[in-house]
Amino acid sequence: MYCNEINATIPPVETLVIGYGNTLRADDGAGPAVIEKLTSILPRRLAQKVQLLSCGQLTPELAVDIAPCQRIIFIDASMALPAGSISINPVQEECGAVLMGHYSTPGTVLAMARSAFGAHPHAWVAAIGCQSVEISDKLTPRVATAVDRLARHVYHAIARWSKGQTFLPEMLPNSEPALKAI
Amino acid sequence: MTRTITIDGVTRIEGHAKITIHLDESGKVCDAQFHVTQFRGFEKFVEGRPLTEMPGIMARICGICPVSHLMAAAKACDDILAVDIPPTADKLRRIMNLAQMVQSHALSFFHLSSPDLLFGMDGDPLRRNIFGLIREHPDFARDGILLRKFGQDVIALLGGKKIHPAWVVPGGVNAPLTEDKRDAILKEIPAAMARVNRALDYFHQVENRYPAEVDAFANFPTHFAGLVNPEGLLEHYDGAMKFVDHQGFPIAELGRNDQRHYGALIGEAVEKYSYLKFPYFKPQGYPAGIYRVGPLARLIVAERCGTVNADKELGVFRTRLGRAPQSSFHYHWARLIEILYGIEMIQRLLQFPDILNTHIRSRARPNRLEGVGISEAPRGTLIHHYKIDENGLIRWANLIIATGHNNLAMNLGVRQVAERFVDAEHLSEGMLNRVEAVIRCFDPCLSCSTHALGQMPLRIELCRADGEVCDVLQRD
Repeated sequence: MYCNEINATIPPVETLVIGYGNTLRADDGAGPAVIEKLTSILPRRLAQKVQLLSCGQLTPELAVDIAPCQRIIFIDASMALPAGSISINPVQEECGAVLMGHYSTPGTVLAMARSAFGAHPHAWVAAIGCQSVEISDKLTPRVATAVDRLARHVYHAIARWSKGQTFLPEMLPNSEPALKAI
Repeated sequence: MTRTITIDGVTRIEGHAKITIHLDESGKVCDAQFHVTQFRGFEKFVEGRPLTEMPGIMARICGICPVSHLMAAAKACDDILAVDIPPTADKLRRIMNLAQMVQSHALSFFHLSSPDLLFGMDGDPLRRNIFGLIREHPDFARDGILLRKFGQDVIALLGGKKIHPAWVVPGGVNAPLTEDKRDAILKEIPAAMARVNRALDYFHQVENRYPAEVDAFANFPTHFAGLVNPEGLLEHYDGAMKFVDHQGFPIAELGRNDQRHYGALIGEAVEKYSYLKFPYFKPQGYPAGIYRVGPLARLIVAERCGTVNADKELGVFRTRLGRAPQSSFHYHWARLIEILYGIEMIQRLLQFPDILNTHIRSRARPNRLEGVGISEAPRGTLIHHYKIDENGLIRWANLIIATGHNNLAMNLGVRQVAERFVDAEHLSEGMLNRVEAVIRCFDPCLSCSTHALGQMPLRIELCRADGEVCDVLQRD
């Protein structure tokens, strides 16, 4: 009943891209910056197949947005990666003894979407290494470059998926093709 | 040998905190403290910023409930501009504030507290969590997720985004409501009503399983405070701040036009062990002037809700518990009643003929050098007080946050539940969970109350009389 209810109320999209982070803490805003970039470059024919979400942090109700989608890409900033580098990995579900509060991870939101709504999307988390998380609404130059690169890569993935082609987003090339060539 | 048990930090609340429980030489609880261990200091760093930036800056206090700070900040700015905002803007702000309450209460009840209620305080922690809830009570869990989404979607439809919408501005709001957005919200009302009604049915089945917790979860006489409208009904956006005693009898009221004088009724004390201030009812002094705010307090302070279904449920609540129930365990039920009220009131406000009007902002330059905004956040009364200079720059700010009002009661509550449940010779997870659960009744948001950011792990320390830690229990 619930999946039908959700599918009836939320327009089905093939791919959901969620960029999250604090836009007032410099490079922590890399996720929302990728969403902003994608919003500006996605042509209408692709935009209809994609939902782009920008948020401060992951929250439980995102499970509802995830439920009708085939693919999810979470975009986050990381202090563990070298500044400006990009890492893309499949999301591992996290549940069991997780004490979920006001804050969620891609794994917990995905697990919630599966267990509550029967969703089985393919999901990846793309992380951009931070240089600075000091108080600022500007990205550092290396991270700004990485944001541009990741946005082009996600664009490329969406374009390939829209043609029914297989594409594994974790295979990040050294340089993305120009947008007009996609 | 006296000992101290420390819970550091408390889980399933927002922010960083720890609890210490001091034991005397016979192993009995002799004291307990709720420490808020984070600090951010918004009051200080807004100094020098333009008044017009305040709603946007203050909303950043919390990524979970920014709307509440947006409202109080905008109202304080309205006061400095000395404007009455247009009636349509008033209604639109109310809708957003109620949507915030619905989503926040849904998270608190369904995600944070209901695992304790449905699986028991001593239930296996591997099961007593949101995923256990989804496995064993899937419809209930989905209702919680979808109710929260309802509130978040209303905020996003009005403000353009769920988190930190910049739509509420000094003098009103910056965009009118469109017909399609109004209809989109109205379309979701019946489903949201059905969900909260099912939750109330669930709650009625489990609530009477916890007589010991009802008896010991911050169950003591205090005053209560909250906003009421001119008819004395439940109010969340704008009204008089009313204080009642433990029996529900009025003891003081801060009129809608007297809010700059809140300092006559509310004092703020500081303790060395916490960054969270301790507001108190000033006529009674500190710490005797203990009072509570939030959903339970609001239902005690108000004569009634003012909507059909919420009033019906409030009637059941009062028949069962009396006019002024003292146990903080009843915050859970009060939260569900307020969700019901919030949905009904959003529907009512959307049906006003002027709700689509485009006159939504009053414009003025500062006409006063000082302003106060008081509104109800999900957790209780929220006060923003600003002073500006002749150039419109903030020179002083004071915030009194809902969680702060409840600080004295939370500390006493921790002590009460520790006295009842903690056996120092046989520490158990369920015992310590109850100590945390009494805090969760208040649904404290420590990010707001200290203006800090974070999530909350758990650490419990057991200390001997000489202060040496002899046992630790830690959750991450």
